[in-house]
Amino acid sequence: MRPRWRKLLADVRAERGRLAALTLAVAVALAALGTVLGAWTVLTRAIATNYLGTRPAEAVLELEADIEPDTLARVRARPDVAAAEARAIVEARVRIGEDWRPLLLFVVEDVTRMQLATFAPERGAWPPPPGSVLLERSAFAFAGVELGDSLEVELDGAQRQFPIAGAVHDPALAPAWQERTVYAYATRATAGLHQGLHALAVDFVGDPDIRAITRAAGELGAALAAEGHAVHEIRIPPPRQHPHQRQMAIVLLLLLALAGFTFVLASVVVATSLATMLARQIREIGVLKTLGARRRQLVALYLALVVGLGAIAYLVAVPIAVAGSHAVSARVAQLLNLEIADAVAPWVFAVLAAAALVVPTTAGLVPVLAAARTPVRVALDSHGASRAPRPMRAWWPVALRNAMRRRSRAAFVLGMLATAGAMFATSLALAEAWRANAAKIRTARHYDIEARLTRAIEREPLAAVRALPGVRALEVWGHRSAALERVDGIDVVRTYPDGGHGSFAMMAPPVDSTMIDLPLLAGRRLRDQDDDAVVLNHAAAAMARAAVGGQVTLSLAGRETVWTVVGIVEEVGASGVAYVTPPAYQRVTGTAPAQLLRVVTETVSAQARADILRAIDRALVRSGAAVEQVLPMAELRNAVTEHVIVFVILLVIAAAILAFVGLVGLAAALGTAVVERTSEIAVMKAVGATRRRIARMIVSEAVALALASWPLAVLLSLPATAWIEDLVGRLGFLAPLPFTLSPLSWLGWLVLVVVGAITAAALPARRAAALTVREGLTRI
Amino acid sequence: MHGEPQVDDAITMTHASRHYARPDGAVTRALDDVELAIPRGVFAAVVGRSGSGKSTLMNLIAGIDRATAGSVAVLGTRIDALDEDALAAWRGRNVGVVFQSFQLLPTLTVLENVELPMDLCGTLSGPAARARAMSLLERMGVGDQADKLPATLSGGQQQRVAIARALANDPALVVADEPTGNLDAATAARVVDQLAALTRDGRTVVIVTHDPEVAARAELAVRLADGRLIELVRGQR
Repeated sequence: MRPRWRKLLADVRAERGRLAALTLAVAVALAALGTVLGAWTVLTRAIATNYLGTRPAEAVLELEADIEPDTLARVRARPDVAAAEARAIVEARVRIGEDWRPLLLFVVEDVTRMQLATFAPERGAWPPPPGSVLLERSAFAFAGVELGDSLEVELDGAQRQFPIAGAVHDPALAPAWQERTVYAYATRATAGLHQGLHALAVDFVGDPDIRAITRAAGELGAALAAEGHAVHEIRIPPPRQHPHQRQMAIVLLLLLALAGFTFVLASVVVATSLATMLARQIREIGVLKTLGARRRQLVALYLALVVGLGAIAYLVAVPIAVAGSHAVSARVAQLLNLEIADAVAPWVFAVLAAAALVVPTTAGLVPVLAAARTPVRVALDSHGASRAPRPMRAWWPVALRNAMRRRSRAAFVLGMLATAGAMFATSLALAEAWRANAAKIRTARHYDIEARLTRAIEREPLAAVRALPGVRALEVWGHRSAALERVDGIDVVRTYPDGGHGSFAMMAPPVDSTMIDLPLLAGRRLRDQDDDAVVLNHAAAAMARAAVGGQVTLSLAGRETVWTVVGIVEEVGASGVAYVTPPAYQRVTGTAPAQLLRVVTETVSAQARADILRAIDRALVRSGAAVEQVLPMAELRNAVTEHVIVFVILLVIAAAILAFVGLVGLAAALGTAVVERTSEIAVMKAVGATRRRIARMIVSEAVALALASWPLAVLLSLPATAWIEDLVGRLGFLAPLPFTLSPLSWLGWLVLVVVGAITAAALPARRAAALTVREGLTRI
Repeated sequence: MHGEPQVDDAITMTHASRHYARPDGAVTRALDDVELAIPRGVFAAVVGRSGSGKSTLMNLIAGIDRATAGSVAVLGTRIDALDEDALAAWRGRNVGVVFQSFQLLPTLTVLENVELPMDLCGTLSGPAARARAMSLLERMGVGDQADKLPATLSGGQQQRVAIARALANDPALVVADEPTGNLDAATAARVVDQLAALTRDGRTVVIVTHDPEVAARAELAVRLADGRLIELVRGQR
């Protein structure tokens, strides 16, 4: 090996502690970048292969009656129709233990000949034997059943038993545990529905543009109506878009930006550390030049060090990134009910390799070129002395004055620590805000049990429920689905097949309701005399793009009604809801406002509430009420909290990585300060400073920088918290999260940054303390 | 010795000055309007008090520093006209530099330190470079130290290694800045002997010193004061 490369290897051995820390900083930042990029590729492809692989129907037309084979044949023969199938999506109930839970039953003619909104068999019989059903795989654990068990189902007003013949995966649906709903699949023959297969799933020819689909679906609906097949609703969810796809993309983009920022910072830290090393070797560089070394030889020598560091960081980062992206993908896939089959895309490794080699090398070019360009005489005469420090305030503590001698470097370290601290505080504040928002579900709703009915409740069952022991208060509300759009006289809704995502409803609570207390965002609440006034929840306002004072047209079973928006309220954990007074509801729907019961119990015990819930269910069924579902309030809260809390955890991990990189940067900056002040330290020792005193001086400078960065971190966290809480709130709840700060995180960061600074200062302090007077004054 | 460069001159300085601007705006005249010619193959000494400009003169001759005015020609090359890289390459092949504080690279062995100039200038490599380095170390009497790190050697040994390194590329000119400054009298005498002996191969040796005994051994003594050449004395060697 050539002597110059042997010199480089010897330098690496001499600086192994610092270089190991730097390599680790770059590797960790690179691993974070790789984790997010990898998860991105895995999830993007998983959505494509899972969700789009089911070929979700672009539109579902709800007809009044069964779709005859010749009608279906005529639809399929239309030039604008690529595929069409008849099916039914039925809201039923299933018994789980002692409780009745919502069941969504998807019914088709033949499960083996499905073209649209398909699902993949995973276990058990395929096709299911006559009389049996298939269960979505996520529903087994939620329903507490196994293959071969029977489901007790309440369907079309009768209770029936369906053996579970197999498990299927339907990635178009959110997991059953998340939506608190059981998903099952049956053939027409097994389900034996009164109404037959009355839903027409259609895929149109042409681009998946929502306006084109709406237009084509409207024309098809009009054509069917002209043939005597009335269509009462068209469901068109956002085409080719998983219900949570946008949220996932934006959150991953946010994490990607953070990881990228951290990686660039780590590269700048490498450059700073390299500057330290070069400052210490500047006289050696002078000697090398005296012996004939040219600039490009020196540049190649030191850049090889950075390239080597990047290569090792890459090798360390790749397995972490692969494991990290699989862990993140698996968790997100669980949230989205996706099956992960793909590995991280090969281009991710290429991007990481390029980043590992190019970014630190580019950052390292600055100090390397500066050192290589240093004139020989200047390099040989260098004693590590810094330029004259800029003037500073005499009242500053000595440690701060020392730390601030090189303003640009101090600013860099302060900026890095402040950014890390701000991210740390922001992440924890976001978690707090998330919890506070989820808590609003409880604080805004003062009932314990909700019962939904498919038709208005009569006086007798209502009295039966009211008379039950443990029922303290009860309210009866109007409730029915509504549409914001119409095409060719047919209601168009943006609801996904699960019936929840994108849904819109009209509700009529008593004007003096004590069951809800939704915060008013704008305008006023409903009054007794309001007849055409509507109060929208924030999700509905966003969907209708409505403002207070404006008008909104709501279609109810094909009948258009015009309302004046008098208020907008915040309602966490709900889809779009338009609130009207009970008389107005009765006027426009022609039915009594009594499809929803909200009950306050006299107990706080979950077990006692469950008993009351069952008693309500039994009382309603016994008295002939058409029960759709009876749910405890606690389930709504759990479903919301579980939705995306994983992203908050990822944000905290990203902050921890940035903090680590920041502290390595602090160590590098302190190392440079020690090198620059070698002579000064030697003089201090010559006039009596002990090793302990020198070490304390360096450590106190680190602590001074850490303390100075803390108020900056707190200040920076304020706008960052406001921004991210707004963004995440809008993604998760269609409204900003409540602006929540986390003073505990500020205190936590103060402790972390001071302890981290002391740790980061240990090596430079030891080096400074070990410096002898002779070395300091005649150093090469 | 003044006037137009002669073919036989190793070094010719014409109105050479090196001025430094101080932070207060004043100018330090480290070397001022020096006219000097040193013939090839002589052992020359540059003498003067501290701050007289000795090291600055040596830096200009070795191409370590550049004149702010005038010209410097060394071994027939106007080195003030060369760019930084060309100057480094020229210096590596033509000038051997010996420093007062040895300036051996601490992380390389003695042998590797001597191999280094050959590696940087591409003159010899591999076994040939190692053989030449070993032969130079043996010539300087430190061959048995080849595999040691410089810090384990005495000052005299380190300086002899530095001289061996200076000779690695067989330069026609060797300059030494206070090479005996860190050595005891006996060792210093041995080092000066070895430097003086280099002229037997036709090399020019320029040594900066404030030691009158070392100066007395030179064939040519260049005396500086306050950055100006005040005397040029031919010795009796």
